[in-house]
Amino acid sequence: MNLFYDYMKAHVEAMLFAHGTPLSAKRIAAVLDISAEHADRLLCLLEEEYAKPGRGLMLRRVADGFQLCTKPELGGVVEKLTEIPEQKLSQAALETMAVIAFRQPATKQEIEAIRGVKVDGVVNTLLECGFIREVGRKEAVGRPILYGTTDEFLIHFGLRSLEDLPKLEAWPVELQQEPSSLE
Amino acid sequence: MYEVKLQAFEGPLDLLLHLIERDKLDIYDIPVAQVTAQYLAYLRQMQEFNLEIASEFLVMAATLLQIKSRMLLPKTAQQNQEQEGELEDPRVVLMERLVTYRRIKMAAAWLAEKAKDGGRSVARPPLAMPCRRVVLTHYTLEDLLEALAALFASYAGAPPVFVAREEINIQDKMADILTLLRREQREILFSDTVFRAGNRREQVAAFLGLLELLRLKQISIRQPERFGPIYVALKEDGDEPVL
Repeated sequence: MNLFYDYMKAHVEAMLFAHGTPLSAKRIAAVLDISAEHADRLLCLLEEEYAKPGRGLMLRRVADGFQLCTKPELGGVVEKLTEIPEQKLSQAALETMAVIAFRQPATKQEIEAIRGVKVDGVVNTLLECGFIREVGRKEAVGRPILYGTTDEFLIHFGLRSLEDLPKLEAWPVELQQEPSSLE
Repeated sequence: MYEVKLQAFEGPLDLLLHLIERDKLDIYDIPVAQVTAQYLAYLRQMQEFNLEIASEFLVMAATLLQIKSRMLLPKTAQQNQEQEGELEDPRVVLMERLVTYRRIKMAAAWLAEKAKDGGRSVARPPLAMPCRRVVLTHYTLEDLLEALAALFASYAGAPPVFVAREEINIQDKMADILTLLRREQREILFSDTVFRAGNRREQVAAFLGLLELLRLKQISIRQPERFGPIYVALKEDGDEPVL
């Protein structure tokens, strides 16, 4: 192992620890005064190191950056420690989340048109969860609020960036051949 | 007693999709008459079990019936020429909504799958960094004591004054108003109850107390003429207040 890399890797680790929230490779490169390729290489080295079974943390690529977090397989012990109650998003909340994520920015009226039901309640739930936020107003009658996703959304759904979202049109519409699972 | 299970649907589109999927119908060529009949049958079932039908379901029922009737209308040759743009399949709008909604449902399932992993990791918020690192090198404990002594000296001769916050509660005000009423031949001016109070907090308490007494039927209020004085009187038959 290159000594230089070893030495710089520690710097990157310290920065990630102190920063907490996702840190971009560009920022790391700028602070350490190294090239972007070097920063990427260092991050890859750290990522490999954390991936080993003896470590409880991992390097997560999320929200256009890198972040230290606990490994998902250790979720049980962390939840026990912090007494996090399990909260599942309802089907209504998930569908609304999907409309906002894939069609953002979107107004309540647009979500309602797609889902065919009122969405005031679920939009509030999603706001409380921090998954969506107001991103502006639509230039239309009543200037309705436009909603978009947050970094919290990317983190919770394990997405590196919004580009990780497939195109909505990518899903087939034709009826699946297997019997419907709804029955 | 028997138990009937009615599937819960997220909305009218969800129900329609379910009907289409159950019978393996072509979403691009929906047999409107058949689907409408089943849709209405479901609503009727809901009614039978005294379930409240959300208005969205009724709007969809109306839409389905409208499409159905439009499809039954014969088209004349003239109409064909005149309104070519408008004469597209009346099902198109509904079909497009169903297609979009189905994709959203799939996207929602995809997100749920993603959340299984993402949601179980936790990360920390940024460390609360000290806003600056204070370096104290030139000072000793003696300097600190000296500074403290100087501070005490500057305060000498000025004893602190404590200003107590006045607490007024509505109960007290109610008792006060009742006492006043008994003393003043059972009738007083409204302004004497509220405006004899000192500060705004007290006025608010007095007013709320008055309302509460009125609610408890302890007092009555009359205003003989418009914009004239308002009188507050003790109710003759009022029970003793529970204060």
